[in-house]
Amino acid sequence: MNSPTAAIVARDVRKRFGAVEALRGFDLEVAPGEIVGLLGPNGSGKTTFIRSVAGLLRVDGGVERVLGRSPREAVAAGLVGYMTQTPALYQELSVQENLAFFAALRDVAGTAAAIDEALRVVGLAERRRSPVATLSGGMRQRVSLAVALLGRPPLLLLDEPTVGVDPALRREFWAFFRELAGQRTAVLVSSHVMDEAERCDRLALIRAGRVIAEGSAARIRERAGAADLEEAFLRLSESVA
Amino acid sequence: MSGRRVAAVARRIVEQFRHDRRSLGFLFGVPLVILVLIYYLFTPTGGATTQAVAIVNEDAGPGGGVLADALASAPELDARRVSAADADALLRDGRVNAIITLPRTFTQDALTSRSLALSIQLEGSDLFVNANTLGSIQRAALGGLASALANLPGGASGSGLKLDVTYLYGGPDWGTLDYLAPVIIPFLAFFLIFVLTDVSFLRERAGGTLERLLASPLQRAELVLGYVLGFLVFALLQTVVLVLFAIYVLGLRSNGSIAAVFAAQIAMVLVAVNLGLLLSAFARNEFQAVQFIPVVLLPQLLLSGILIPIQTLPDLLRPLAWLMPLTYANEATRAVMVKGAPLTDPVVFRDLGAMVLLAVALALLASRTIRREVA
Repeated sequence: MNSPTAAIVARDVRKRFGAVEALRGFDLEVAPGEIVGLLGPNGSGKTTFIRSVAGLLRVDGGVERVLGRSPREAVAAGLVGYMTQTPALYQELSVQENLAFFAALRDVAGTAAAIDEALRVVGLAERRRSPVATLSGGMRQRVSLAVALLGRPPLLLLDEPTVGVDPALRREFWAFFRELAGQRTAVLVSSHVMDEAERCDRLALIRAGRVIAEGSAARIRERAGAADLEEAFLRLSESVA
Repeated sequence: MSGRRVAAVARRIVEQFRHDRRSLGFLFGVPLVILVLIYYLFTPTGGATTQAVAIVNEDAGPGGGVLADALASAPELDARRVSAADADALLRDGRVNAIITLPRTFTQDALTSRSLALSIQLEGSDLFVNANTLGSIQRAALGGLASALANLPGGASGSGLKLDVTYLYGGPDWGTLDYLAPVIIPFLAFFLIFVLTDVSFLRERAGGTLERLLASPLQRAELVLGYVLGFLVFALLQTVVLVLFAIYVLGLRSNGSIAAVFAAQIAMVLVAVNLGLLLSAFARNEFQAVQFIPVVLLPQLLLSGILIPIQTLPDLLRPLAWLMPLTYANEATRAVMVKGAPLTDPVVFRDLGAMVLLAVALALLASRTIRREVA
């Protein structure tokens, strides 16, 4: 798995914010075409890790490579689509205008077609002219996802993408993630929703800034001797505590 | 009305401040700094209170020389006795505020008890300098007159002293607002554009969009440059409206070209936008961003020659004037609107250059200050 073309390679990554050690020896690899879920409680380091991969913070120690480059280089080359936890959009601008702006920043080829596709995936083609301020929370989340999808970057970082999204649409999201993975897109998705975790190829259970268990959902359940993921997570957490 | 709930709200505010050290620093630091500034402004600390004048004595008799000596030694004036041609050059260079000319007939008029007249030519481009200079000359002349007359043979006595005032720039038909327009227009534009940039960049941070921008190929310098261009559009429109309204609707005077006024405004707006970005990049929250507004504007109001001429600032504060972007904007706009200077005038050119350099320096600082670790 240690190929130079891995979407993400993280080894012994450390990051400290003042007195808080957010990442303490974080190891993870994500291959192209793989959907990897980061599963863990709030404050366990999921978002910090995703932000470090997005080139938003400098880690204190360890190695991080994104598609064979440093995170910042990969982001600068437009290889990374990042969906933030809260929908970061310009409220006064319409859905279309927001997408056009971010598409221009990422130098997305065939902007109009890329925007159409992203809107179709998130089911907001009808609302493309609406100002973001007039959309519901769930709709904004969908626009935010559409921004990350623009131009189909080879790595998607999704920080809790389905918060506020209804079950039917959530299923569509996942079908689309799967379709992207089929085209060799790597997807790193954080969540604390267990049923969502079942849909990932591989899970990394995070606790206190470290990956405490890794593998498919079935394998993690088996290893913990638990009936469901939630119980498996609790048992594995206790065993390392 | 529940005392407990009121107390809870009050306590929460105190606690919020306690956790926001920087705001707390502003709360106490800013008024103290401003107060110290005002203290030094209005406490004479040497220099600055005398008016630079040139004295040209054309009197055929001895009386003019005596009065000229008296004027030269008057505490209100920093006088030099020169020829008429030199005096004119000094006035045009701005090295003296006025020329006092003692006429050929001064002694004769005194001996024949005619009314005495001094002709005063004011540089004239600054309302407050005009008033201060004229007042100082009047006091010095009255003080020196008695000795001048007493020294004349036969105990001459002039019947009163008249000052014939003429202006190099501006004039008695210039209203107060005509004089103030060249400093009010830049101040208004600076104020509004600075506040707009300061706050809108803050929204970028608070709304989370900055995080998204920084996780894109967009470079920080590109972000700053894009902001400058975007705001420049509105700043230019605002300037066009402001200048045209002042001149064509309010009927304020401008001797210079409108294009030169616009050029000065553009240079100043570049500074305002970049300063807004830089300070907004420093602010962690909206409270801090808002507190930068008085920190930036009050010193400029006091030190950039709007209300207090720079030459009369205390020695201690005068160097600070040249750190204020508005000083350059005011000087250039005044040169254009009052003196009719063209863009190629060395003073205007220097001021515009200073503002552009300042804007570039601020832009570089701002793009360094926008950190990636934003959350």
